[in-house]
Amino acid sequence: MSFLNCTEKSQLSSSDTLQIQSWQTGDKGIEVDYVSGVTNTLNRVSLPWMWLRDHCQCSSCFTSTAQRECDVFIGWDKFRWEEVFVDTDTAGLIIQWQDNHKSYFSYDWLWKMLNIENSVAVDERTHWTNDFPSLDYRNILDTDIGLRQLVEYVAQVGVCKVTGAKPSQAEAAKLMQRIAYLRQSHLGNLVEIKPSSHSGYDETHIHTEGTFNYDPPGIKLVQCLDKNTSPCELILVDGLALVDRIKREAPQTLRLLQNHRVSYQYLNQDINLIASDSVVTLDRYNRLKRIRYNRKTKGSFAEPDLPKKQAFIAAFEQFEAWIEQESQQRKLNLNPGEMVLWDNWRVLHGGGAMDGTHHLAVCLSNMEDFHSRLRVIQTKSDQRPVPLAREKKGVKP
Amino acid sequence: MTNLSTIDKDSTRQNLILWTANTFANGLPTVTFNEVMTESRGLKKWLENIACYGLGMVSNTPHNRESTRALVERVAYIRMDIFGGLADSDMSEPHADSAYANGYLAAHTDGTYAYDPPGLILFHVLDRDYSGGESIFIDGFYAAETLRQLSPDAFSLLTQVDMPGHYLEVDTHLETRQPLIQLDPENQVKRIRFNHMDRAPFYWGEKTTQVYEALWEWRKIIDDLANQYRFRLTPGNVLLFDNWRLLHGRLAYVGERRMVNCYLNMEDFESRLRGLRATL
Repeated sequence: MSFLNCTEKSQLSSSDTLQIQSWQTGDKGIEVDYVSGVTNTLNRVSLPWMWLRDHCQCSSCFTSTAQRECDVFIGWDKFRWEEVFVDTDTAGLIIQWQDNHKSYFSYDWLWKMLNIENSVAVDERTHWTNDFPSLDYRNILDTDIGLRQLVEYVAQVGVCKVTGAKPSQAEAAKLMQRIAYLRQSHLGNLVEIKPSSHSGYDETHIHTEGTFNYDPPGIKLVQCLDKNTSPCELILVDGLALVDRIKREAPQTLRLLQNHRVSYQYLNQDINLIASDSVVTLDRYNRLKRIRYNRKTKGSFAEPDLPKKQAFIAAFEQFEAWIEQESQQRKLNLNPGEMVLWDNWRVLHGGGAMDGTHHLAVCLSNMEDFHSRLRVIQTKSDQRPVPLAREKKGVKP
Repeated sequence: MTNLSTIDKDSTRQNLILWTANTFANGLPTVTFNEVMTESRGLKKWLENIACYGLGMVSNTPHNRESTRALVERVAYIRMDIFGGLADSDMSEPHADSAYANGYLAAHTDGTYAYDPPGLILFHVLDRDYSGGESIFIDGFYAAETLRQLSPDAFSLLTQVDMPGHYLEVDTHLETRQPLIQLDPENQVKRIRFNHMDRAPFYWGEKTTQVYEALWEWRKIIDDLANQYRFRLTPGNVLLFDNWRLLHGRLAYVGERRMVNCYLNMEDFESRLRGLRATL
């Protein structure tokens, strides 16, 4: 079938983001010529029928919890288009389907979709210049603005101190639960490190938590439960600043750290966890996604080629040397009751606080749940539509 | 086609047996509750069934929540999640639309929106005062290998393009973009992520038409009844299955159907199996 030409070309429809100049319907979909309100250029894009029906935004196709109800894959014959209109009043595209269904796509929505593949959340992370931010415990527990400040500091700076809590594990748990449920591990979800019972405990070396986990903990919270005010000092290293430095000074080393997988293992009685990953993972936009580094849990390097293996070992040792440099490190002291949270995919930690002589409470949350909290908080002010309660897992098959 | 890899080649996944609808004509690989609870060998047999087929049944389990918990904790602690860990349809809050909840659920994997999708899922139906509701299970690794043979281009595309998944609720917005088929460094299928309902709106640029054609090929395979093992979950029979490999769904039902279910992390399952293999 040849292209049917819809002749209302002169009818210009527009929104701030997109102006449709003309469109043609064909076998596979609609070809649209539009002017981008952002770049002011003329573009052609094809919107397949199947994509359009699959993305119908009406309330019977997408539930209030944004689940897709319509299934175009049960048989495309059922979903033939009949007519296409442009709604100049509301700046949108309307498609009348042969099964009497009608779909509406606003230009703003179309614009968002056309750019979604390359849409990138702005990287709001900043290097450490000032002292670490510090917030009041009650303010975070009792107010939305306090919680928002905490979440945004952890997202931007990667570290936030919290003062004003009683030295008690329960207080630590309550704070983390403002962000998300506590992550479970074989040690439980809230770990108390007692000076007496953990004589073998020594985590003073600079590392990231859970190198042997498939999904390393996203946020780590440490609270000082000491009775006296002997120095309880953490050492933190900003992995973001370090990786930015390696990008500049030693790009070849960075490539080695990105491309070689290191196997990490946790072996303790009947627990035997193994995960392999690179030391530095960047996202597709070349930004730091995650650091996974702990020389104590590192297994052997699985690289049969000896020169390659040696090159990687040198890079690994160079990384170790960098994080040991005092210029890369920041010290943070915790008084009894005080706590600190950090982004464990970005920040490495160690120091005297973790030498086994201090009384600490530790809990963790998943990165996905932290990101969920960040999205919910940041979109609440933008009048995010609130979906209805979703079915609970208990009723699934 | 038994040379599929392996999340962890050294110990856990070896000798996978891929399957279709009639592979289990004589029933699912099964061990008894007592075997699992009293002998390491019984526990190992159960876990080896899951490592090999992606699923394993435990029969003669007392029909209650606490026995189910005791059984799953032989493997590992229960993974905490937004649903609260060990979920129970009797105790869950009222849901928005019960008709929907009892309706047909197309085959999917859980947690397509999670950075680390649940490794294993446990189902125990405690009440059978309902009609319909047969479960559907599909070997996603078999489906992926079939796609690799029949439509190598579609296979390749589905290992490359992002399939965004999302989960929205009042206080939750989970989201991630990952391929439907994830390969390991040796190009063996490592994980399937597929849920039509939870797929978020997305446009793949010039590849959009090809993506739909590839999804169409994928759907032909998983919608083929010859690849769907269907059976009824009954009280006493606890099913634990690999959510990185199998797709699961359920036909509509009428009546009361109480079910207990929970997730385990893949790493903890592997850890237990490594330990058992080393000592037995």
